[in-house]
Amino acid sequence: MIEQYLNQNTIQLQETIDDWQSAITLAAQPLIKNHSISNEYLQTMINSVNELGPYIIITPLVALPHARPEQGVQKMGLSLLRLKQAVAFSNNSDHLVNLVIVLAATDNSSHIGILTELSDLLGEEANVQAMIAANSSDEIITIINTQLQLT
Amino acid sequence: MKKVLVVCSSGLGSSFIIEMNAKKILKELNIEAEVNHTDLTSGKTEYADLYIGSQEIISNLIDGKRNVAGLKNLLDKKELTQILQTHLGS
Repeated sequence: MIEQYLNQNTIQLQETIDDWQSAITLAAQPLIKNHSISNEYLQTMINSVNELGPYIIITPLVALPHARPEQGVQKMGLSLLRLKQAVAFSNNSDHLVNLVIVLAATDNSSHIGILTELSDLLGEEANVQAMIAANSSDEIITIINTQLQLT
Repeated sequence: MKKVLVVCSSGLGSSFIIEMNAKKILKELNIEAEVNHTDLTSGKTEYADLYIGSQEIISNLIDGKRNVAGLKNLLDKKELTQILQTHLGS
């Protein structure tokens, strides 16, 4: 499932970034380019963090920004931005992020397979660390495929 | 049967993941409970015996009456197991 969405075109690697808004904006670009989401969707993701805080950090070092299907999703999509140096989502050290994974869901339930696989992948701290240390999108794809074969 | 409601802002990201994990854990623990997920706005009007979500989101539901539990790490099954055991275990 997620290997269909996370590929050379949707995985980006960068050393550092200025702030969390830029991180979400950059992470979302592949999905804007491949017409999965609109600019409105990107703005809604940023607004909801401004309103509710960094609740999108699902596990240490990993953020899963997303909004609702009706807020600008054209088709299902996932993209991943890997930052070598963590970006802060608040002044709290619990809110440092190295992996930004943008989720675009088309309805309330069809992305359940994607979420299950992301939960298995990111629930293992070793996978998160390996993805942060990776030097190419191929390395990240290998980590994902290895995990998918386990479960 | 006890009702558990997992809440996140959109009702389709983290709450969905936690719901799936909670169902698995409750089965393992042999605890019977109904688990659903929803967005924050609907969560405010829906009754449940226990509300679970990320600390940032779930704090919006604290009113002194609701039974609310916030997760630090949403993918940490140990943390979730502990919450479910504390609130629903006999």
